[in-house]
Amino acid sequence: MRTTRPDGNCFYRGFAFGLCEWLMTLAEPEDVTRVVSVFEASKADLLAAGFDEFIDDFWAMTMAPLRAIKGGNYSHDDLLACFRDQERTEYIVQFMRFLVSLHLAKNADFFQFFIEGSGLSVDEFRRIEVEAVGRDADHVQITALTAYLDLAVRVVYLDQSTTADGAASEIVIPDGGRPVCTLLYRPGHYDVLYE
Amino acid sequence: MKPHLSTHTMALRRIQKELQDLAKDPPANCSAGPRDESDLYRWQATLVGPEDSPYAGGVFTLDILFPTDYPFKPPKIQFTTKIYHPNVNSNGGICLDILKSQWSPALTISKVLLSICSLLTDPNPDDPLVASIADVYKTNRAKYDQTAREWTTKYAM
Repeated sequence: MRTTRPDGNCFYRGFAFGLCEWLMTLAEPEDVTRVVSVFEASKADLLAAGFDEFIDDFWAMTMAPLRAIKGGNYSHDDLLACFRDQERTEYIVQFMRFLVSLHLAKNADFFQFFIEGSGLSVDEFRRIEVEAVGRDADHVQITALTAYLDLAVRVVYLDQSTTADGAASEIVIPDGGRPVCTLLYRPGHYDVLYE
Repeated sequence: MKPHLSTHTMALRRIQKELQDLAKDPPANCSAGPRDESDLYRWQATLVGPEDSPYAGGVFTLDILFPTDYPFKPPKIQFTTKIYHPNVNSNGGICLDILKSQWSPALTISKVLLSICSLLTDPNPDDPLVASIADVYKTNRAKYDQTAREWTTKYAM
């Protein structure tokens, strides 16, 4: 298990780290090409959806490790150094938040049914529960991020949803997908879990 | 280790970009910029009281202090002109969700100033910084409007 800093950014940080590790090890070359090109294109996608030019700083900071991974000149130590550097990870985490917000905006008609229980509109949810610094990710945010990237993640829950015999329950989001990484969820916190 | 831009550089770059944007596309009824060109972290802003509020005709100044980890922490903003408002205390401190728990790096000074203008038009008496002013606002709107107008004339004109 790799622990992540418990600050409300842990899902995004854990997922981004797990994604990078997957791209560096298990992913097929065509997966790497596809995922990196989704990130490359995301800047134009964000701008077209009305995000302002300030997203460029977040996009550029996220593209740096991705381009290096694609180029094959990025070591696991480089990856660790990047994610232990609070400054760089803050930009990467925030960029993940923008991608979630973008996907919710583009699919508001669908997601409003999953958000209305919170009493917020989709736009309010994007502002308060997604884009705001340090806000935890829940099922809606995880669904949106994996859908935008067309990837899957496995979440192992060690909480009240644990089954009667004490075993942890786990889900793959989206259902049936091939997870790029596994995150361990204990109430309020996610860590990266290895087999 | 691969070279990268440090956040202080990134914070300054972002502040400079916001400054250029404000010059290119200034928001209605407000302006903002550094107090002194040598310190880009300290700005001053002016707001013109919204027409449909008791602050109409007033010009209000505010101090803005950017943290060095901007935009991951909100800017500190306070009125330096005295103002009678349920969400602004006697030190000029402002109670506004986006300047606290709902801050996001997607926000900019321009958007924050527009939110402060909206707050002048539509106070939020249910989350007051000054309970006594919130009470007057909720129970005697005419008295609230009159006092706010008097303060505007006295301090902001």
